Amino acid sequence: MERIGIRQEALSRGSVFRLWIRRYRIWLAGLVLLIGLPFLLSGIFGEPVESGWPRFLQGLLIRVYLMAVYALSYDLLMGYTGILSFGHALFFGGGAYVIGILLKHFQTPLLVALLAVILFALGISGLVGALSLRVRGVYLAMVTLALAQAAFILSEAADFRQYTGAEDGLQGIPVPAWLDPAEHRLRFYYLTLFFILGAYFLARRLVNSPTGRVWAALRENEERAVALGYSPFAFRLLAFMFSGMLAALAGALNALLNKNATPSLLSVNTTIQALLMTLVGGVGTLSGPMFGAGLLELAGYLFNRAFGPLWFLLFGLFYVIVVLAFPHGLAGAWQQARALHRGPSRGSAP
Amino acid sequence: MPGEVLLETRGLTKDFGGLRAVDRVDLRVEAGTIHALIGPNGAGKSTLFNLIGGSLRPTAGRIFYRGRDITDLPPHRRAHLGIGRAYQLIHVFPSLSVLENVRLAAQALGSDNFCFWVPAARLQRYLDQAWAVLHEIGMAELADLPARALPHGHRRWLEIAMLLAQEPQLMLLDEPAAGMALDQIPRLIRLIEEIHRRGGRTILLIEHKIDLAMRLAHRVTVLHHGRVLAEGTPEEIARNEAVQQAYLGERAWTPSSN
Ligand SMILES: Nc1ncnc2c1ncn2[C@@H]1O[C@H](COP(=O)(O)OP(=O)(O)O)[C@@H](O)[C@H]1O
Ligand SMILES: [Mg+2]
Repeated sequence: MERIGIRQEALSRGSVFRLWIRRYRIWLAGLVLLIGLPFLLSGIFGEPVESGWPRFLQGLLIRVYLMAVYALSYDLLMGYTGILSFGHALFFGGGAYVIGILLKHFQTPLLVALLAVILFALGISGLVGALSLRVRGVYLAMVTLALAQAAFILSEAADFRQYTGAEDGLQGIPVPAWLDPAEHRLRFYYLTLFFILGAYFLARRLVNSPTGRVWAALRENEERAVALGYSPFAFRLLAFMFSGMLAALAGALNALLNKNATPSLLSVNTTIQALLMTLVGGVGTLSGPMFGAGLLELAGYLFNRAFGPLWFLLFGLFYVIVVLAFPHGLAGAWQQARALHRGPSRGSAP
Repeated sequence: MPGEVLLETRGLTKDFGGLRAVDRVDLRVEAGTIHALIGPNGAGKSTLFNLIGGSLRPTAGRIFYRGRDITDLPPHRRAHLGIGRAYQLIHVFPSLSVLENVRLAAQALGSDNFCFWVPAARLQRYLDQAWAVLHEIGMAELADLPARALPHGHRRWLEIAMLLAQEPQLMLLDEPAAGMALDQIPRLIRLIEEIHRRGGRTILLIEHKIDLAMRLAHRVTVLHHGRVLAEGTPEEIARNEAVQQAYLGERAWTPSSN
């Protein structure tokens, strides 16, 4: 619970605004940086913003933003509600396939297709939740894994090749010209920046809402929450649906970026990725997993470039070192550093 | 205090494997009374609470609340009917603040649980309720501590605070004095009497310290090996030889001992 203090009423509007700025100055600075980053990069490399390195790095950042929202959505489930799902790929990959099929085979307008992704995500995550929430813990992980694997197998099935491209995946998704990431990468960059901001604020708002507080209560002590009168099923189902919706939108935008959707998006690897980004970033912090996504995406890229085929092994080693060095993730390390900076008298309240 | 029967169990039985923890218990708790449930350790008192609260399903028997059969009702529905409980073992949300623990108790019975677009901090009603309770039991200074960091002597009070925030019609208190410093117990007694007076609440109280139960209760039910050994007013129970017998096995007890 945030309480600025009793003096608050005595403050004028202007000073409240200044307080607000002070409080969020790091975030505001970060936002300004991200908005200006394409042009900053253009200046640094001395190349036009829509070509060469600036263009390439925008692509990398877009990828980071999409994975950050994907990690964020996983943290809503794992960190805030205490649900260990192993089927998150189903939402991410599902979103990619739905938008791909609609754009390619049904020539659906983009906005309608995005709306369809949301509806699909709410439906499928509601279904996964309804089926898996009958059990707990490892059993829930197994049920969600089985459902995601079923979707993976379905995506590879030859019977639907006409729509899904089977094991080759759905290639050449037609993206409307005005948003084509190959033509207008800068636009796509700002779209995904807008997306990540929106997703973050939605998630923050959710976890601070009465519903989100109940998620935390269920995570902390289910029996007690139930004895107080909370029906665990309804609340957890909602968590699944919000999480599924954000993951599916991230997956859909990812499909627009790559202009394809492949079965690997639905594979266990994709779920593990969400898990790793969340663990590296810091479970239950929302922003932590987003930074975790950034670190793993960028490190993955650099390792790939530097070490060639061996990169996967070394990347695994890198991951182990990060987790050992920061057992509470990047967010935990950050809070510790700040607590040290402020002196030992102030602990960091969770 | 004759009146409506608020809670009734008929032939209530719970088996754990081969062990019969609760054995054909017929219990009648009248509305507006303080009813004590006493008995030696392992008598099945807490198990009986778990059956009434709904966290355990009975092997046999039925439970009625205000004449309605609630045996098959899930625990969260029972909370909404007005059955609230404080646990014998501390059972809270450890990493949430003390205030948030109590606020969540208040929020549970309200109608804003699914307002996911409103910040919880803006729903003043539940915050006010939580602060009022924390002030009442003298824990306001500890409101921002995570529950797990609470000094030992205060943990029991947090349990009670969460119950108070809900003000249920039927309060199930499982050994509220357990682990409490001796000098706190008079305060606890005053609080229980105050709650009872204030809203005409019905309190079903498990108490291992028999003198405490005898002081507070209008009716006493003695449980032994899962069975009802005796039932009556505190005076009747104090005179009951079977009860004395049952307790002698554990420790000598006389009504005057402290
Ligand atoms: N969940 C359980 N599983 C198995 N046995 C249990 C369980 N809960 C209680 N018991 C057993 O049931 C009996 C009654 O326990 P309990 O109701 O806790 O007694 P009391 O609260 O009167 O001390 C004890 O023998 C205890 O070991
Ligand atoms: Mg007990």
